[in-house]
Amino acid sequence: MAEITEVSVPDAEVVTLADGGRILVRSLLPSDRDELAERYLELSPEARRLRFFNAPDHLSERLLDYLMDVDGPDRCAVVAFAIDDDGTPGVGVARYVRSREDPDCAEAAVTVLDRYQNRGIATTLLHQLADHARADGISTFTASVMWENRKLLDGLRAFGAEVAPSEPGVASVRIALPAPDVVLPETDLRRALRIFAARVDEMIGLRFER
Amino acid sequence: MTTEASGPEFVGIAADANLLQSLQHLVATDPDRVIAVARRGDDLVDWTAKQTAEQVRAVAKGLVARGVEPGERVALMSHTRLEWMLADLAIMSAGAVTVPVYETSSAEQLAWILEDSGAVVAIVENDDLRALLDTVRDRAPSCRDAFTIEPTGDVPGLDRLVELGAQVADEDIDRRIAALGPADLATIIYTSGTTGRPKGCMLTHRNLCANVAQVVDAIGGEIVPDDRGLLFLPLAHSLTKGTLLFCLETGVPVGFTSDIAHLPEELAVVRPSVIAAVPRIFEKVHNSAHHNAHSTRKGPIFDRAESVAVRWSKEHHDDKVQPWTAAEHWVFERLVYTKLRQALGGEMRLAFSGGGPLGVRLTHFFDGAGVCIYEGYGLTETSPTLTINRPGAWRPGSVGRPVAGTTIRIADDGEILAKGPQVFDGYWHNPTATAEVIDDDGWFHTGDIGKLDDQGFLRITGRKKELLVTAAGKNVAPAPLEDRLRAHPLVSQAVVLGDQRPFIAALITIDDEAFTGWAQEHGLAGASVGDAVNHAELRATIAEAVADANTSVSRAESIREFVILPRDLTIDADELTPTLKVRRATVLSRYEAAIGSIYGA
Repeated sequence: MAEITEVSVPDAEVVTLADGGRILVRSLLPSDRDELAERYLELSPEARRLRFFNAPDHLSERLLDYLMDVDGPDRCAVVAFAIDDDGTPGVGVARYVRSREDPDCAEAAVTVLDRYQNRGIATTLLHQLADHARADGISTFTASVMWENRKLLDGLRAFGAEVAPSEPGVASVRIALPAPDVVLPETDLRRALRIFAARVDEMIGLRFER
Repeated sequence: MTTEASGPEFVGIAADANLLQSLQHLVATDPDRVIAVARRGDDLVDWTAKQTAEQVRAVAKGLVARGVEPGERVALMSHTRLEWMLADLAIMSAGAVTVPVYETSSAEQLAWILEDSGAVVAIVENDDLRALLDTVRDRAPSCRDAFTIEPTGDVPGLDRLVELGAQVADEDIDRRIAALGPADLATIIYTSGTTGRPKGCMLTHRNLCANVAQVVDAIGGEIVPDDRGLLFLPLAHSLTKGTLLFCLETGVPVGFTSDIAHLPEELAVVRPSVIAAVPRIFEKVHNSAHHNAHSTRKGPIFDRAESVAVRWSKEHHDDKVQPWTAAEHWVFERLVYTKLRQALGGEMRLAFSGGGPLGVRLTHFFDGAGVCIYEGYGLTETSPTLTINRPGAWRPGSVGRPVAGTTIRIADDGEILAKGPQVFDGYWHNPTATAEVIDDDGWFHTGDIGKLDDQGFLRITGRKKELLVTAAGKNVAPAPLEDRLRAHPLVSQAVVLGDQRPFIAALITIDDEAFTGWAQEHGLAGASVGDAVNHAELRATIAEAVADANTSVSRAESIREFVILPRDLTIDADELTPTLKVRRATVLSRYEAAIGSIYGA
């Protein structure tokens, strides 16, 4: 992944995780396509199920087209690379897609490779994602979350998310992102988002205990 | 809205209570009382309390002779029949624990249940099940003996077990029964989770004795001396087992059948006044009456009778039956309702419904036609009854109020939590799974979502578990089946369905990329998936994938029908969320017509 070391992407940021490991976080680029397809194959079946509910066993070209289509104000994806590891693998991706019905809302989702879970990577990805979202005028994230991710849902509730029953097995979650013009200390916002993202980390990833 | 409701105070159970005391009490007070009827050809054979107890003891002695120790597990795999009850009572009389296995279970499931429970003996119904058992014996080394209820040839049957037991003294069994206390395990019932293998629910004598007492408290006052029960759902299902125990306790004789297809004939022979059923049974009775009426040009009369029954029931429930309603009801009582009750055997008074939602209109219809259905709610983990409608506290659309000694709480997220003496202690050898359902404060998390009204009636509104519950009340986890289907290269998506339906089915989409190659090999070059959905060879190929997925589950859980969809699921059609999560509800409504054709609607 030579291109990531070039750090020519405006929003690229190297983040040091709590355990000392470093990741590079940036927007998804067209050149990430193969990486996305390959890393998907490394996700455990359970991780795939919690992410897609009814997950394909590989990402078809059509699905990849969709997932790579993140130009414009309605879609955004950010990726994390483990820059200290051999081959600097892509280890996580978070994305949102603006709702067609309600342009202030976007559906968010995040995935981290099983073996990188529980390190705060999803948290970091969601920080960036939320920054992009607010900059694009999005005030609310929605998400469909399987009820079996009890810790995540508890965490989201603590953050003020509304959690409502949806179809069997699935909770529908709404979480308000403070508007950019709201005078809110950056630290609080960051902290809140970190709580939000940490819970997401627990859920998605599924088997976080290393 | 209320978030917590409790049943009346529970008097509790005796300090030395066990499940054999109902039968012992009957033997002591009314030994010649008929407590069961068995079908022998076209005849019904009565079983008195004394005969039953003697046969149970004889089988129990056989188990003791074969070295079964208190606390050991004995598997029981059979359709619903008298011998199921005899074997179950005999296993417990030997101090052992009954592990029921659905007679439709796959080899994989049977092997797992035997292996996990460590069953030392298996009692199976017939040669077919014996053959199935023999295919998995090497995976269950603890299972050293097998006996067949209906043996042929030299296969050892229950009579062999009785012979073996002749050397054991009656007192040995009396001692074992006397030693059984509330804390001892009575049964381990295996239930499916959303993923992974079935888990064994440990139910103690306390759990089950308490639940019998709770249900007797709620509804036992309705029982009259001439009542008769009929059991027809699998006794491996906790609702049927609970009903059996209720009948034993109240001295109601029970008949047994597993032949649901001939249920009308069976009802006509046994003429039960008490049954427990899943909603599907009541729907079928209604639908066939409706169909019969319409096919003989009496449709309009039936339809009128139906709406009058519903209106009468609603008005009666509110204690304000209008004179005109009463008059119409009187007329249709003679014209229609009597006949409907005849279809149920003519004597039906108490019908319990569980395992799924019973339609409000259907409930009123039956009530107006003279059969009051009492809908209840519970899980295998709760022995099973947590709430029940009852005389004087009957609210269609609800599952009733908590039974005595039971508290229902609605958690912040809407989940129904429960506490009570019928709530199990945990899953067999699986503390992790137990910790997921019983929290630190002792609340059992049902996984269902519901609401309590201000009178304490519970309504079920949703489900946290990704589970389908078939019309027969069987829990089926779609995810493992879907995973197996998607493992086939031609399958891109699979949506398994069957909630409140008679059987499980699947909607399957075809992977475009794989299809192109397949189409070329099969002389369909250039064809689209949409062109080929009914192509015999494509269907045959997908049928193989379905058959493969089915090997992991029981017949009751297996996919019987499938439909190949003409295109993949899409975001544009709202079948996938913008982040590509499947929306089952949308998929099901989009393909309603195809699903209707599967189920012959």
